[in-house]
Amino acid sequence: MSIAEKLTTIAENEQRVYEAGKQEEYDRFWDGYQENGDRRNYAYAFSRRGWTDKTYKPKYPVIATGSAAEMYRESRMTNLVGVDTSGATSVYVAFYNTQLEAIDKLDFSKATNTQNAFAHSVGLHTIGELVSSETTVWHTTTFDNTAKLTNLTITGTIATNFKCSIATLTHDSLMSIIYALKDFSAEGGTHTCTIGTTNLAKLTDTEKAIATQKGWTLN
Amino acid sequence: MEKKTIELIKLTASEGMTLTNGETYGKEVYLGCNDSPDNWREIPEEDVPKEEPPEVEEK
Repeated sequence: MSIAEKLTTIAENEQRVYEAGKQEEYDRFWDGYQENGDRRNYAYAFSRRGWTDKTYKPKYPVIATGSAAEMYRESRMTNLVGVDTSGATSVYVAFYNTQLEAIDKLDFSKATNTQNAFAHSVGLHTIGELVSSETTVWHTTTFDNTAKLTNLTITGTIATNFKCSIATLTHDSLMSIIYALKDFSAEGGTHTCTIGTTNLAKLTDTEKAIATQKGWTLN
Repeated sequence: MEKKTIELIKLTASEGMTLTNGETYGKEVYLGCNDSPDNWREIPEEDVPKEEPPEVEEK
């Protein structure tokens, strides 16, 4: 091969070599960071401003069990997809003060600490599905100052006092909350679901009665 | 045909007042079937505790 031919081959391969190097670097980082896919403790894992749409490219599924506290706190991604929190017992401050606008689905079935989970994520517009269970413990601050929250679909069961009084919530979002409220009519006790005056006005009396007949006081 | 009458008990705070059961606060309250108006009282708006800043540790 002549020198000219060699130079031509090198030039042709330059991009491929560059890409291979990039891939190797990506693999090296994420294999280590996600323990070749075995990592389950994601507390603090993607916290702070260094995590952006450009840098957050997990190689393996993100499956958090146990404490997911502060998992994405103050991160700067705008969209979150496919995060498995179904085994997380704490989501304390997990999505606090982020720049997230949309999250496709989160499962808080096992979460007993939801304090400030989404608080101050002021751009958060949509949580496609938020799974609750009879053991999920909701906190009055879970949705604090999520001022743009519009679409929130709760599935499963809400069995502790619940507060989400963000005025931008859609009627469908509010109904998903109403339908998820556990039926305490036979058990007794008082339970409160706080959605605020603006949201109360979006519901008909019949829709409000779905909640009140299940033993929930709406305010 | 089934005919059902649904009772909805609504409490509305007076001007300048807020309703509370000691835990939550609101201008309008629709009582759950196990709740009672006796559990609620009016307090002046200025007595409603301010939202506390989030109990979040700074990092």
